[in-house]
Amino acid sequence: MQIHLKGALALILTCSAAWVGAGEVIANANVNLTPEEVRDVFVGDKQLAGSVKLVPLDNAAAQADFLAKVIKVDAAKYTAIWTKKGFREGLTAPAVRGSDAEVINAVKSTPGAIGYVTKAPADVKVIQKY
Amino acid sequence: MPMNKIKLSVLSLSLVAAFPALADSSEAARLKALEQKLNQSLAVIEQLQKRITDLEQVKPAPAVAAVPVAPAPAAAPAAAPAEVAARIDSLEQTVSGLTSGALRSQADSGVPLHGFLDVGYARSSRTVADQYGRTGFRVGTFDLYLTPQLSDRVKALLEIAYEYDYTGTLGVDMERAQLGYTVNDNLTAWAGRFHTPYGYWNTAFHHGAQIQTSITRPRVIAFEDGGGLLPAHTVGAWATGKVATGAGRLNYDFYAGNSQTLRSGVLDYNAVGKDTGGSNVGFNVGLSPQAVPGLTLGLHGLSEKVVSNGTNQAGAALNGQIGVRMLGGYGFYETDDWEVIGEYYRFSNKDLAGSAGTNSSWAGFVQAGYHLSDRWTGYARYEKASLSANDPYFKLMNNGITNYGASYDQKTIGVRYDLDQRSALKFQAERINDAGNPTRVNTWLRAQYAVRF
Repeated sequence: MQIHLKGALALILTCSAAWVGAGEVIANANVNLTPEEVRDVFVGDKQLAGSVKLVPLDNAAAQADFLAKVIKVDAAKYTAIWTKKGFREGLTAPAVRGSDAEVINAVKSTPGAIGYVTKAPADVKVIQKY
Repeated sequence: MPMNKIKLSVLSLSLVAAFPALADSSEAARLKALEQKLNQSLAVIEQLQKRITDLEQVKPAPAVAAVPVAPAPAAAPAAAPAEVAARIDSLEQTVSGLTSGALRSQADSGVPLHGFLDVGYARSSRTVADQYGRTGFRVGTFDLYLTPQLSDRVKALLEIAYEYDYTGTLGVDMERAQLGYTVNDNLTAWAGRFHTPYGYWNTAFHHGAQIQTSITRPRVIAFEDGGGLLPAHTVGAWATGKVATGAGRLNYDFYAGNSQTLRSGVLDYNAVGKDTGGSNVGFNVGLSPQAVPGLTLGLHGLSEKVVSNGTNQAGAALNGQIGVRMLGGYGFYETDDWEVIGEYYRFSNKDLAGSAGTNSSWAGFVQAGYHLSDRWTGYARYEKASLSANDPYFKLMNNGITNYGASYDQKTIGVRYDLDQRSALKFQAERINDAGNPTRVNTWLRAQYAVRF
């Protein structure tokens, strides 16, 4: 029983470690995207998914992890990218939400919306886990 | 039983370890707690529903009713599912109201206004207070721009710049007034007045002093009224986009618009229709290879018929017609440490009204910046224009006051300190050898405080 308990403990701790800083990219039900396209959406290189106008949303509570793992830049660089995008191409940087709950609610209710959260509920489309 | 308690404790510890974000802020923690309560309540409801279904299927079975139903410790009493449901509804309505309120608030706040402003000081070695040597504090450019998204595919870009020329006269320019339509991810069509998409610098920085590393832009690509050899703006139509290829991303621009007029030696982009001459056409095609992240290499070209009219300072006519042909290349490389920009312009201009024939000239610059630390960036630039003295296009730029069509070379060094993401201090030294400058060699020391908002 002691061995069994140690094994369970090791398994749980391993899973816990894997979950630290993890997140999920979620989207409105009418959005069809591949994980490979997510970065393009958040740097303004992809604005449409089929005929659907995409509405990327930043999540202040999870942004650092998302930028590091998915966009591969830090916050300063991300801001610089959007400043140049806005100035040259007339694009608007993603609106910022303050928490998972706000992002989830906005994604559910906004056609074309795509955001990221630390844990997605079961009733929201998940595009990518990171 | 003790074993179960141990397992429960381990599970609790692991869950705490699995969600470190709980400690991020009190707001996040509060929302997390709400979410947990919601999930717990939903679990209770599911269990109750399942239980009711079971009871309905097996009734009469009174013994089953004695089995405990709700193991979740934080759940509301099982005897009050309606109350739990009501609380959940209330919670959902509250969250929904808060979110929709935030969304409505953003929508009602209108179109964000962005802009740039810079002020500074410049000291010239030339003691004559003309355009080649005017020492003192100065207001730079106050630039405002809007990027309204008018519908899913229709957008606009509006930009106004206020700036003083060297005589102290305030000029107001409708820098950009362009309406666009996003056809798809590979193509956006614009019409109106836009920044002519040659090279990299002109569209990337333009009046954005805070986003360009150096204080000044290269004179090779100066604005029309500041010695420009090429139209920094075009009034016409522009197709732009990018296409993914196996080698990397291909960026393209194709445009056509009113050709420029040289009015008393200064380029005019003809905002309200061309009075003479023809149309300009140009392209810019660049490849950002996958193999070298941060690098873009491209080719650009421009062709137009330019008519010159007006007079010089002495009253002599500056008439002419020139077929301007420019073909060149550019490169841009950016990493965490480096920013390198190079642009090359080769002119082959034909005299259409006289006997000067076809003349070749070239101009270009290369600038390298290195991030010395998070806030400090050092940079250096070399630029040179070797312009044919026989070419009427450049010769007619000499109006007796300015002679921006003259050959020159310039060395620039500087350092930039970013106070934060939106403001920067810059210090720069330049040495210019300019055939059009009466003093010939001139040095400048400059300081600039530039912000964006």
